[in-house]
Amino acid sequence: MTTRTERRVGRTGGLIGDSPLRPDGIPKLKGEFEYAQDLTAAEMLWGATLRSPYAHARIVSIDLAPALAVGGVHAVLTADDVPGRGTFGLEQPDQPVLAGDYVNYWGEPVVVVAAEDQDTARRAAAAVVVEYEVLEPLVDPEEADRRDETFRRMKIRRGDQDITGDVIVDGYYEVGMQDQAPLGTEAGLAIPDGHGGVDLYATSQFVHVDHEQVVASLGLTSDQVRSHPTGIGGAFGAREDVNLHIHLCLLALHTSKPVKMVYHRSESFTGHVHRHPARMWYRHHADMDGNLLRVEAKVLVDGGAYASTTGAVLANACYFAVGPYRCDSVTVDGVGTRTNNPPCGAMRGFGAVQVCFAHETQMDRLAAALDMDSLDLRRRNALATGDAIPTTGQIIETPLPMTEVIDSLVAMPMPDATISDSPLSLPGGTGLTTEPTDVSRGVGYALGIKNLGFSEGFDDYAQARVRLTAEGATVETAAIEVGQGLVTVLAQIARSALGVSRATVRNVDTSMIDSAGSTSASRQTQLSGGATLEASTRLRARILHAYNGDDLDDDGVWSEGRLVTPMAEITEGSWEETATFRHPATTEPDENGQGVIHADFAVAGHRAVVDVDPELGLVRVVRVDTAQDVGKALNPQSVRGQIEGGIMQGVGLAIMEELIVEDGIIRNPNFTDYLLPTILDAPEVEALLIEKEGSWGPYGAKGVGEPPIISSAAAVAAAIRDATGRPIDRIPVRPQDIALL
Amino acid sequence: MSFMIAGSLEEALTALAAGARPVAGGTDLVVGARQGKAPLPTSLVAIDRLAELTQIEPTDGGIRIGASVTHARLLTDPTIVSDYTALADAAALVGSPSTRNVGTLGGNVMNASPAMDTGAPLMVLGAVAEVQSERGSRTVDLSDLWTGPGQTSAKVDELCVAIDLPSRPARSGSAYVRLEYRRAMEIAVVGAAASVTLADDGTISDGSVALSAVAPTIIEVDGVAELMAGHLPDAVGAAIAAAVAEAAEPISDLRASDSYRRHTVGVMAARAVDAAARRAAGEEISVPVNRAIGVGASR
Ligand SMILES: Cc1cc2nc3c(=O)[nH]c(=O)nc-3n(C[C@H](O)[C@H](O)[C@H](O)COP(=O)(O)OP(=O)(O)OC[C@H]3O[C@@H](n4cnc5c(N)ncnc54)[C@H](O)[C@@H]3O)c2cc1C
Repeated sequence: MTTRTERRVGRTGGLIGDSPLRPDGIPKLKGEFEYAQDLTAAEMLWGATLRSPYAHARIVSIDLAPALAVGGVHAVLTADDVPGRGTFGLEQPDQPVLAGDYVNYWGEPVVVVAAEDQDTARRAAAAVVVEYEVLEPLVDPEEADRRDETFRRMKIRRGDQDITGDVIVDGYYEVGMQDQAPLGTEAGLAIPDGHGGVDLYATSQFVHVDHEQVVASLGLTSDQVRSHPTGIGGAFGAREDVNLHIHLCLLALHTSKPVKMVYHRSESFTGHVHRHPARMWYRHHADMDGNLLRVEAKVLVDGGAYASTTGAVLANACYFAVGPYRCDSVTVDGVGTRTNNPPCGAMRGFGAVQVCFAHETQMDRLAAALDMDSLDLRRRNALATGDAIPTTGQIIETPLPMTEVIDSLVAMPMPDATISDSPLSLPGGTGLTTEPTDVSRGVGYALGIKNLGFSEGFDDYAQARVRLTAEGATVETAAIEVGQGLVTVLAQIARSALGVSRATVRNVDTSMIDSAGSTSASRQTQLSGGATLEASTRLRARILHAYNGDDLDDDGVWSEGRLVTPMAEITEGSWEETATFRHPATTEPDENGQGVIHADFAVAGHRAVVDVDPELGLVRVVRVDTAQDVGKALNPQSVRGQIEGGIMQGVGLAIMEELIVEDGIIRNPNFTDYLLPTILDAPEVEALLIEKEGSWGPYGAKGVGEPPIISSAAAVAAAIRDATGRPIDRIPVRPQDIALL
Repeated sequence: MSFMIAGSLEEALTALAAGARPVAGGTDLVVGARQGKAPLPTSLVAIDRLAELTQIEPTDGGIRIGASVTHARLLTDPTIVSDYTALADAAALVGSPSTRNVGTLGGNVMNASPAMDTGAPLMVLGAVAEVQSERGSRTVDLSDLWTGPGQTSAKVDELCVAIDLPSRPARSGSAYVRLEYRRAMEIAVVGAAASVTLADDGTISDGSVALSAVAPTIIEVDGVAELMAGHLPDAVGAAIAAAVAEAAEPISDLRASDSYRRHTVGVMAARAVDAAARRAAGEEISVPVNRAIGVGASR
């Protein structure tokens, strides 16, 4: 008889707190993993998109004949061919599926084509003749603000609106337009089902919300369209919005053939939303002891041509405008402008990144004005559980270890102060550009805070189903794995909660399960993890009850240390549980922006060490240390993966990643000119995970995906300021901002 | 479209006379076509494996590098590394290891990008290009070869077969430095090459400076030899920087403003002169890739 000490779960690991191998890891390394780009179907056609060459124009006429004349073309569709709602959008359906009378941004889709191969489809799209009357684009967001061209305005008023401080610090800050730049471009395949409906497999972060929008524009009923999760090569927010989804379905239904599309790189840069560029005006008031008395801010984010998630990004920027600090008197005005710039939407950090750069620079300047250590200033004002969020007045109920983050960060060892002469650690590439004597070193700190999960009264939930069969446990979900390790952690939760060693995650389409919500807002481990935990816990209880046991493992049901029913017998029956997990309810803001706006919060801090060649303006980020509030690290390796990746993206935002938009046109939609840091640009990273249980996530876990980018960019900027004495009030910091001042 | 792998130099020249375009590594030609810069030529002749074009051999007065020699070979060839170090510096900076394994010197020179990395080193080392067609063979000064961005004075039927470099005077050193924002896979924002020859007393007896990415072609800075002659290397930095900033005609583009380029190219030229002089004096400053991976340290 099996004894309890030999339980297989304990031997193979893969439980909560372990870091098992990712099931998709080796296939991805070997090139065997099926990404959306790899999808294929018999008799498949290829789609292509004709896009606007202007930021703003009236469409006078469209001549499709030259495209239809190209051999191998099966369909050439315009706005007139959209049978249902002509528009889509996450917050409001304001974006045309295909442009009708006007184009409002450079790269807006006008015509879609299906043809026998990709080259033919692209050639045919290029052959369409569109006559435009070119109009003056509105590209200055401050002008848009004055003209009241806005998606949302925010007003936050809390506490005394007249108080002034002994010390006042003013600042103006800018953050450029970052791109998510996922390595996998937008791709998908739509397969008509022969009964008027369609199956869609396309890059996504949220198949149920794609589905709603696709159904509306196709004019079909919900059950006629099935949106399937598929293999994703990176997302970072770029996959929350619909882009090629409706086009693919239109072409597939029109031609009665499967249709595939893959965006090429430059099309990807125009085909998805970007991080909002921001302009921020700040005034901080403090008393002589360094207590924050009041923060005033105006935050402008440019939403570009269509709404996407601009309203929510703006709101987040305003809610976190003060940062993780106590302050009883707050004034924030925010505006999300509508212009003819490229549409902006979700990107990792979602508004909190932009304001973090501003509030952390303000804190450093305030410390300088007070002649105080900047970490002492931060520690003195740090938020803690039981405090009110300074903007919304919401009382923080879950653990918020801000002080522990600061203390841990300070305690982490600093790198060797001597500047290495290895070209791998000097600024300026691997060449002879910079010698150690050309370099000055700087150190900068920044702290950040962000909400977890959706806010402002949104009904945010995730459904998951757990089955137990002879193969082990299966978690069924529509939650999207974008590379972050969701399928690994959901299996860990199922193993731990159910008690069996084999668990796999199966992605199912929108017809088979309710929504898991978006893979965004750092929420999926908390929400889909919560649903998996609940379904597993209930299933285990039902099985134990059915067989009168007190424990379940791979061998079967046990009672008082004896195996009472073997697994083979149990799995003859059908065992499944479906659970829907909701985080604590939130409310919409009142007219002063007050309320229980957020479900939970996470904090992190970063210390950056940089070497700068001031004469050339070149920066080498030597090291970034971090302490992060993670609740409970369900998979420590995945947490570190998020931390290292987020820091790389923060380094990119701080010193090189920017879409350059001139007159509404993206000038660098390619990887030659949009600079992503390479592995040679990666800093050393030391991460300390601060585990304080008490959040509502499974086992007390908090979301960990966004905090790594929020304050890392600000810390790098602070370090450059320390090294050079330059103001550094804009990121990305351009070499000329350092060298030419 | 037709594609032919030339079996001999003669075959390649015949193909060119019939209208084919040469392709060596294809890292400019094919990548450019993919990016939509220019369509692929309808007729191509591959020259990357021609024995006649892949030799590095000593000549009476110096060294001859076949046009199809790759960057990877340049940066490890002992003679290039020791005597023509600036060229090895440049080859080491090109793209990534895979770019260097297929990209060639001839392709870099004939592509005539104003930001090309081997151009400025070749100029300060006094290189000439050997071009050949069915009509015959001639040598061209680099300053006559490059006529504008992407343009050369070579005729369509002419193939660059080799680059000739004169032998180096005693106590000479050279260096190439490139300004880039990212640490790999970058294009020169500006670049500077210098050659320095020292007299017995340690002062400079001769020298030259050439620049990348600050004019429509690679340019050599006039008057540098006079400026440096008789001075100790430590003393010429500021004068070099000023002369270079004067000679540069940079543009503003996505990467940098003209004023940033003008400022930094001066700094870079001074640093190139410094490294070249230190090499001339016998200091070991290995070429970038070799430095990074810690092998092959040499002058
Ligand atoms: C990822 C990447 C990174 C790069 N990084 C750099 C860099 O850091 N620095 C840099 O300078 N360049 C860089 N390049 C450009 C390119 O790699 C180099 O210019 C390379 O030396 C070109 O050589 P090739 O043999 O590939 O040329 P090809 O593409 O084969 O040819 C280029 C052009 O020259 C012509 N040509 C080739 N050989 C001859 C010949 N013998 N006679 C006459 N015409 C000829 C061809 O017809 C074509 O017009 C990079 C390219 C890529 C793709």
